[in-house]
Amino acid sequence: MKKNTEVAIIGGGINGCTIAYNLSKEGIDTVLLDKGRLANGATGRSGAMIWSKWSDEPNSNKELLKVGLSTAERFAELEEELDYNIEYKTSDSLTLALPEEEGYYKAVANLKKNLGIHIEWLEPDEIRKEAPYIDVDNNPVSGGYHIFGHLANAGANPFYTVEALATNARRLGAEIYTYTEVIGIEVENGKIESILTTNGKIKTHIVVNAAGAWASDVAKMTGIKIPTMPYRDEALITEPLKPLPYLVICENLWARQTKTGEIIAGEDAIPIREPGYNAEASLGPLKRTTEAMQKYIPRLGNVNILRHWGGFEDITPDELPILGEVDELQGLILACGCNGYGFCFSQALGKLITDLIVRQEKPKVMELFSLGRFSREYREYSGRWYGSC
Amino acid sequence: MASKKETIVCFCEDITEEEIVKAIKEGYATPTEIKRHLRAGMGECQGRGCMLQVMKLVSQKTGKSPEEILPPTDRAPIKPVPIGVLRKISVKDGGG
Repeated sequence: MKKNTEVAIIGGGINGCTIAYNLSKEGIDTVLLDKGRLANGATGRSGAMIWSKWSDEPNSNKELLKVGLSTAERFAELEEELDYNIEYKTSDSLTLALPEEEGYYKAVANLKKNLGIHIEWLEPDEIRKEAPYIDVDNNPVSGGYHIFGHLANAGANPFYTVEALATNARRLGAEIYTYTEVIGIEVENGKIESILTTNGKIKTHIVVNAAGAWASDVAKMTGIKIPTMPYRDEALITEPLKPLPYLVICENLWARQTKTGEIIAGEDAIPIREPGYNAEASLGPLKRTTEAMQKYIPRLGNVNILRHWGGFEDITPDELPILGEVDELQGLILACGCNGYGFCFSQALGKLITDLIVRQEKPKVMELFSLGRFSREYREYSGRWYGSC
Repeated sequence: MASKKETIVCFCEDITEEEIVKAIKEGYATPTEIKRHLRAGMGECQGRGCMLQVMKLVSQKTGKSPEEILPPTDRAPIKPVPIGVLRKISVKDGGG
């Protein structure tokens, strides 16, 4: 194992691997460490959906919208640049609105349109004509927006994406050590000096915390408390099907058809969740997800479910990620708190963190993501938000 | 007669012995990693047909004893189950 490095990244998920690739491309000496294999946390368990983040909320901040769209734009270039089949696929989708949601979704559709996304509003009659397999007669659907195949409505295979980034990072000189757990971070005079791992010590002055659900545990090794907390989320996958022209998103259901034909689906908001590291899938989400799928697309009733699994999201109190430097400790860079949209947001995150490390660039949006947005008192007080559980 | 490199190990995803051996040499040294990398065991049968073979190959090529080779995590449902059946399960308290 290397004894010295400019930057050490903790966490081999989509964010850690994106940062490793970006830094290596800039010629920075980089080491990436993971306590297990790559993509073993939220990344490999995610739906790996790519969209224009924050464009689903009509009142989103302009800076957020810009950075949210940039991540989708970057994904569109990735397959070619990495020279690797990551099963990237754009697709059409239909988001259905219930009567009470109509105004809200119309505002969302308008916002997406202004971002340059090819979108149109469909009335129930038009849905019936365009997608006859969607049941609008027995559901109180008052319309919906149709996004045409666009870079802001895409997905990829999370394992292959991480493999592609890691392979390219290695090619450019990065060292990636899997099954190597970080057990300590040595600090002297408010500055990081080295990290201790189960395979030895590495001297470094910059540590990037991209540990996802384990990020607050990693930060705690340096005495810094960050308000992220692991929450379980679950998803399922069907057998491969012929491409469906539209998949439906509605009533807390999200779904995506992969390039190889399987439908990955799950719940958008989890009514009952518990913090902690229990990844065991449970019956409730399986029942609710399958119910919603068949309710809106009755013919899916005969389709087999192959797998159902659980994973962790690192949740923050305001659902924004926590990125950038920490006032109290020189050399610690946070790249965590992605609230379940880490795969989608990874390419913007990777650029922001790389620009920060290489060029000390701090665009305005980084203020919204800074740890400093939570007061020290809040971080101390909100005991339930940090630390090991 | 088929040559050895055409021996199919995972029938659902068409993965050959040669591909698995190559992956092990590239460093995908556990059945879990091979499953994610090649999709062996991710098809209709969920690894019931191939995983023992994959584990045997990992043992042979890495020199580890068979007891040290763990299979990937089993995921529910054990057999593929149609959506129309799953939605009917009763869950007492809403489940987790």
